[in-house]
Amino acid sequence: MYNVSIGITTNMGVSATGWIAQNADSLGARSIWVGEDIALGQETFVLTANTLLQTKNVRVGTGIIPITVHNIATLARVGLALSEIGEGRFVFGLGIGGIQDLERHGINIRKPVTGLRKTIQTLNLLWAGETVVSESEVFSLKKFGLGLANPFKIPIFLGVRGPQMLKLTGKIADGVILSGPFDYLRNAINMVDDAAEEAGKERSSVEKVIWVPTIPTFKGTEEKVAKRVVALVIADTPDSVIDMLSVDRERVEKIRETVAASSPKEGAEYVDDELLDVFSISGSKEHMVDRFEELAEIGATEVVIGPPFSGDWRDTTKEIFEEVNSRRDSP
Amino acid sequence: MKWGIALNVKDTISRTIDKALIADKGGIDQVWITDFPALRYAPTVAAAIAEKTSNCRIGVGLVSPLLYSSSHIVQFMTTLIESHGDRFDLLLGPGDRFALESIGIVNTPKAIVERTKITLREVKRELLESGHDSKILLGAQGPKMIELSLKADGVLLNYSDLEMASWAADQVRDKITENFQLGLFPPAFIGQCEKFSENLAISYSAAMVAIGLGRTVTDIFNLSSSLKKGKMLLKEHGVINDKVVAAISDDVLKRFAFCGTRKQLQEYTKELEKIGYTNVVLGPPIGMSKKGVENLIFVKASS
Repeated sequence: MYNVSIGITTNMGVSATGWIAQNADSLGARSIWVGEDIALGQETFVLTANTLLQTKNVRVGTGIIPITVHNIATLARVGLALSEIGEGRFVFGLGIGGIQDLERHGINIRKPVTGLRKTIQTLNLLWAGETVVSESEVFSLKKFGLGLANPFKIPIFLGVRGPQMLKLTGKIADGVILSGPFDYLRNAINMVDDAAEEAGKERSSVEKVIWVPTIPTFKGTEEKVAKRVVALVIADTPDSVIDMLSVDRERVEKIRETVAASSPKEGAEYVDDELLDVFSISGSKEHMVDRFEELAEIGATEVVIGPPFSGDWRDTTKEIFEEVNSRRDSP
Repeated sequence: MKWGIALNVKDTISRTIDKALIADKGGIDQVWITDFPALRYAPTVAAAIAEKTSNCRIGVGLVSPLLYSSSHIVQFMTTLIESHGDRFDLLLGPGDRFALESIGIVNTPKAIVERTKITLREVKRELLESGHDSKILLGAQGPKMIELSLKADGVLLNYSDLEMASWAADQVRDKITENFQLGLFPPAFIGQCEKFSENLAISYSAAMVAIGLGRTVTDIFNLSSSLKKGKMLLKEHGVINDKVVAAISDDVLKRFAFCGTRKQLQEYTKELEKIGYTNVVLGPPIGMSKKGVENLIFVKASS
């Protein structure tokens, strides 16, 4: 059985993220995932803390924090604080960050796989109470430690895409947060499972959280919103993923160029129905839950709803959860 | 006089919340949540405290502009305010040089002042434009940072000795506006203080402040030779340890922390008021025990 969760981002308002936190438990959500739109909206760690404080049972994870943006000592100290606030419900989702976001902030990382691996290893050492001397492309620690009397562990989920990153995730992470078209997701899940097996772990031990844009159109949300989101997703999708798909490559390039030169709104003009269906889950609640079930069949353990949240999204979210729950209740 | 206490040095969040609740109910005006090198990220601790307390103002900091960008600081302040109400203040300051070096942050003194200046300007402008009522204070010790604090809403001076506190107040006294918060932020301990160096918590805190003293102030108070060996040992070991503390005499250490009885603290704060101080924030180790918080409440109530 798969779980259903809710995704929020820092660019959403306090009332919207608060509503989700206050209702997640009763809706039956497994987790709330907090996405960081770098330097936009609410501060991601305070938003995560608030979400933990406003919930009782759901797990709350960052989805994801770019390791390239924060000092590793901050990440270690955030982990400790949020782990205590959540009393075991906090999950640290980490990654390199979206291509567009990093470029916009002038961040360039030459060896992302090595950078991410060293960061995870170092964070685990710090949480284990070690004093660390270590350097990488993204951090430099000279005898830094948290001086912890009681070591602890935080589940690490990685938001990754390319084959090397997927292998790394299978080997060292507790979960993966994936986004992309179905064909890609099927391959990615297999790669993670293969790598986990190679590393001596149980084949399906790494959780697979699928966070693709979910855009219900049964309560007031216009298709143009969906297209704008898909344009942004396409612009952020690396060639290694696009290469796995049978989509109109020329159209994809046009979208990428337009988003880079102006904005997702302009890029949306080139998103057709085929691309909309490949890169998002949209339509009626019945159709959306059908697609969740398809994801579960290819190995997803958790599917994330939203954002974008538009139209009458509170009712829409409730109805999607009701649909999921009613199918579970029926014999 | 506004009374504050610094929390979140090594405590678990639940212990910090417990102490904040005691402080809040006991009428302490400000609870300051220290950030790096504290083990827990201050803005998240501040959120947890705001959820449980109702009256006290919550200060975030000392927050180093060398560790966080202006936009990041504005973001966490704004998020805290929008989620928990307009009761948050910010203490900006470079922070401990050796601690920052241990996480790969190395800067020249000139760059540190410049970075702080820019961050103060940007954060103040952004928070003002958002219409928030947060006060931004600067943590200062040397003349350049004290001068810079005139552009903030107040200053928390890292001194305890009344002679030094008086000298620091003199640097700004004639230039400050009516609502400027002139505060002192000394390490503090209420209890047995006869054998100062045997009280590890207060002597370590005092040594940290003493060794962080800049050259100008060290010269003004003729402390160069008294602190020379301690500074050299800190450079060699990279952390404050027994050897560093032992290299500084008790008489010098005592000038960098308040250590005494409740009555002495009461008298001390009266002296500070006479000098012109409007705020006192008592730093570690006083906030490391519930007893310390309760002692502070008692002193404030009796003052």
